[in-house]
Amino acid sequence: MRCAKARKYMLDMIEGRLNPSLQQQLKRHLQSCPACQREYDALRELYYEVKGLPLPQETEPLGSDFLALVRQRIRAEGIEPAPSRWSRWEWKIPSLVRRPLLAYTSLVVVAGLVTAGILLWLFFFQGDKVDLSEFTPEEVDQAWELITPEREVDMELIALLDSLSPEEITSFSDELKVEVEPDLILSEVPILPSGYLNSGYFYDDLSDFSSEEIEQIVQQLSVKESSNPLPQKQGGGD
Amino acid sequence: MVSIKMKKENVVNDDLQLVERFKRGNQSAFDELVLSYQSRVYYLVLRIVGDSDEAADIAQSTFIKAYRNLHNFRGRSSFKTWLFRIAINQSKNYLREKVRKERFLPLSEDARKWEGKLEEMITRERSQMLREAIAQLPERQRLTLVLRIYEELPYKEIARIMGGSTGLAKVNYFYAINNLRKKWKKLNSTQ
Repeated sequence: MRCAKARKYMLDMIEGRLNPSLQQQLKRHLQSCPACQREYDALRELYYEVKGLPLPQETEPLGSDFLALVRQRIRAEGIEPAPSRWSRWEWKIPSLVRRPLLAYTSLVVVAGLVTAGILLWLFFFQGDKVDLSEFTPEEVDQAWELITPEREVDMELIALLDSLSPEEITSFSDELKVEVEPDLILSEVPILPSGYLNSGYFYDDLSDFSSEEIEQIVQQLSVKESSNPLPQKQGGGD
Repeated sequence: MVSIKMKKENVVNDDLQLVERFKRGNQSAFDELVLSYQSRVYYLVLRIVGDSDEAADIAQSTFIKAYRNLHNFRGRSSFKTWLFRIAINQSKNYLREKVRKERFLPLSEDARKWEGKLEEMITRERSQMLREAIAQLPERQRLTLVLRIYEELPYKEIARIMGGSTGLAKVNYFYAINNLRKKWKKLNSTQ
């Protein structure tokens, strides 16, 4: 295990949420790396200091009078449970039946709007198919930027990518059929823990991967690397 | 681990049954929900606002808001997550609306109280400093830290309460710890 990866798992280890295999790997790393051991000890001390922090004020636990006070406020303020959205409609439907002219007019207006919407959709989106081959790669990138959903920031991926060389990231990218862009959101992540973004590489929206899956990917990459050695990242050794 | 998971699922199902009973007009189901969660909501709010009277008041408002809106609760998240989200929002509103001159009890009062007990005074002062360092964290990081460390919630649930993705909750927690470490180191070195 490398230092960047070890630091990624430290908090999980302190919280007791790390799986046994990674625990063993981290323990082995800590035994061989005094800098990480110091980091781990400091983090652990802080965690327990925060965790053991007494409540801001000495306070008695809430008693049964709390419920009485809530009930009292509900009565005093005349609060009624808001009807659910559906039951509000249930109330409105009979009133529409009592006023048929309003009901028919509403129906005609709604039907007209739906028809207009369908026609507009057919006209604008179904008329001409866009031929992507006419675009330059840069234009495709720009279009993709516009339709890509909100970026996910994933610490596991940041740490993983930070521990890989650019060449490994490229093969990782090929393996998963996804794109990894350099320096993508560095400006949006101003205060990441030190060491996590040294590589300057970041990938968005892979948060569905579990740590086990990421482990597997890394193993696949290391197999690949041993069969086809890649140049090492400059200054990336821990 | 399996038994803990099963226990959690049972609690979630029990809560949903109580919500359904309340929706059918059973008022005592709401009382059961209040009794189940009053302490957790109170201590969560107390960690955020730092004042026991205000915390009790905000906890009451949280349940009143829940009472008013429970018919619109669809069970897409657990009742606890939904309730915590209300509590967090109520606490945020309180902190935003009220500009507080002093966040915590003046130290001089404590000092008088602890006169002659040097060790305890040092410990108390240390806690006060750490609490202030936490209070200085950006709101989102501070709330994430409270939910993670004191409520021990998984990132997924924190994301549901705070809004945003699981990754974002994780990043906020890492930021919070990292910022806190810097502040704490600085405070310790100036002591």
